[in-house]
Amino acid sequence: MEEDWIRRSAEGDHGAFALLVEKYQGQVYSLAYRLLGDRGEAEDAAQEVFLRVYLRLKDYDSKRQFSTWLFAIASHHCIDRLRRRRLVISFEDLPPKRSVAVERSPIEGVVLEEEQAEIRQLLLSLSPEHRLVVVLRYWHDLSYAEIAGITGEGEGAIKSRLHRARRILAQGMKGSQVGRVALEEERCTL
Amino acid sequence: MHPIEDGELISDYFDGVLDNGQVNLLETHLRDCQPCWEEITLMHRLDKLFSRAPMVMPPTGFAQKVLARLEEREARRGVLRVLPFLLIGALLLASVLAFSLLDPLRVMLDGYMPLISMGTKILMDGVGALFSLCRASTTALKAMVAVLDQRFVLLYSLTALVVMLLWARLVAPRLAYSYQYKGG
Repeated sequence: MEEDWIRRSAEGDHGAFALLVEKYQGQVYSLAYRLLGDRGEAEDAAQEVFLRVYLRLKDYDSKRQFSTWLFAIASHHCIDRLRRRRLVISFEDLPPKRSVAVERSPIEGVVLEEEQAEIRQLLLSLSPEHRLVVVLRYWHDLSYAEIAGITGEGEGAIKSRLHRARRILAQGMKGSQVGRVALEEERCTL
Repeated sequence: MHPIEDGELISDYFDGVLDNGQVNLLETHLRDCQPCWEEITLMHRLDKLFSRAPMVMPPTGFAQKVLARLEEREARRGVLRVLPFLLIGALLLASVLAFSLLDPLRVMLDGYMPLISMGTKILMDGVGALFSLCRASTTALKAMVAVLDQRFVLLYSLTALVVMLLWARLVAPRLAYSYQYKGG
């Protein structure tokens, strides 16, 4: 079915392309949000990604998994945006954004809100390349091989980059309230 | 080397692919090494924190917005693709009108005809160098002016105008679309 949507989209069928957008919008938007850290910019970036996908569909190699090809376009676009943004504004200057609205109790909502803010701050402490690996691994559940397919690097490089990112994040967490509480709790359980 | 420095080992540990012996060795080390214990504890906490974080969803109507942007971009590209054809048409029309206007002037200023002809030729050759279609039209016009039949010139101008309008309205957009999506 997806192959049919892709073929028809490449022939200029907007209806078929809308089905592809519907199917992948959550994943592309989520990737853009985690990488860019801003809902408005993530929406704009995700829309732009789908436009680029539409225009490049005639070059799509059907032997390749469509989602990998799509993520590669999305990743490159978001990283380009981050690089351009670096020249304009320091990432840390951006105000914290409100996170996802999910139906939860007020207490759960507050906890989730705090966690989202924490995650956002932690991700922003990483370079775009490290952030990409973390996002693809944790939120998109991709294997090292799949991430390597998206970034065009070797699996070994991805593995060591993820480890490096984990270390940076752990170091960043150590100085935060959440990190101190986590260490204290673990000490108590020993 | 500290286990924490060994990216391969820690990645395998978090991926749950270490065998029991390796896990025991690592955990023994963690009991005696405060920096490694702290770092791995925090990495564990990160794992939990990230795994609890939900997938964020785009705002309602996202797909419709993408399609609207797509149609807007296609319309803009369509105009850009047609532009060269319109430019050629405009130049053709300009050459036709220039001759229509120049001809009565030529009759009035008969004595200066060689000069006017030379200037016109230079102008038309310049245009014709860029667009062979325009050059062919110029040559035809020169022939018409030579016989001094103003009715024929007027008829030719009107026909050229109609052909250009039909071209811009019917043929050029199809060519542009074909070029953009079929790789023509």
